[in-house]
Amino acid sequence: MPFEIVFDGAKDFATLIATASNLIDEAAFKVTEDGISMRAMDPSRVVLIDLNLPAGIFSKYEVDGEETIGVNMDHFKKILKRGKSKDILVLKKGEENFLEVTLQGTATRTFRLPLIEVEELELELPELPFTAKAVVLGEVLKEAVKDASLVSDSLKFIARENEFIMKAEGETNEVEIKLTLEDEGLLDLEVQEETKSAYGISYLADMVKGIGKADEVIIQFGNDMPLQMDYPVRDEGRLTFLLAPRVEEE
Amino acid sequence: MDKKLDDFITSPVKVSKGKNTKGTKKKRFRPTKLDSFLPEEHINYFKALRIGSKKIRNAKISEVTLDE
Repeated sequence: MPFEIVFDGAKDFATLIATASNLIDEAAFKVTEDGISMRAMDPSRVVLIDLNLPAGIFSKYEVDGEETIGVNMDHFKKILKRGKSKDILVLKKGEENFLEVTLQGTATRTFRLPLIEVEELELELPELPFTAKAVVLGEVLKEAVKDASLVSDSLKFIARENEFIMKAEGETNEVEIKLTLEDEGLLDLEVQEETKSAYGISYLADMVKGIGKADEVIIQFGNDMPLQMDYPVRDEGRLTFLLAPRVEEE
Repeated sequence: MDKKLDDFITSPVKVSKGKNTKGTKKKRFRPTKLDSFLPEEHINYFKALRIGSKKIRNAKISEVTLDE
């Protein structure tokens, strides 16, 4: 299925793909008339990434039909890194199993990216029974992960009535970041029951890399359950991470 | 007369490893995988995706045109 898709601001798209490819090395992109969705899981199956880019965020979107293409993310990232912020990004595919990536700026440069044959992506992201939901400012989350990385390799999320806490305990040091609805950094909090779960900081650090300071990040989790983190892409799009928890050793 | 640091360094203060300031043992966490939380079809789909990448990993990216 041939398509041509144009995205203004190659650098933004590059940041998006770079954020995802820190964790995954290949991904399935589903291209439909409504938009592009991407789903992938890291090789150790600890984190799943789900990207949704509706047709509206592209300056040109010519797609007739539907197809799922497999992309080597490392290759794709290297190409996109060559783009400047003012460059226009063109993603084009003909009948062959190649993706033509063109960067239009002071010059027009076109790369050919070989694609992987993959099955149709029919799976919806499953609804998990989360018991806590917090909406925090991107800046708060980025700083919390940095603070915690000084102390430990795990970060515990705790949600109680009117209180959202991120806590890391090391051999001798601890750090606790506490937010209530009076704090500017916590925009919303819904707690069905007291909820606690811990997650690996190296994954969290990669996940928050692409977040803007002013972005509103939605965090959902359950007791010893995966963490789902959603944040916006140009208002209409959405990048979702689903991260498996770390559980206390008996 | 000024005391020397030696008096303190050799003093019998023991630094105990592995205990945090409140004397409680630091909790250890064990990583888990999404396998135990997601439907099997999801996990199998991504396992299948991995087979494709072995063929493509070394494929060369080619730059097709360079128009000034």
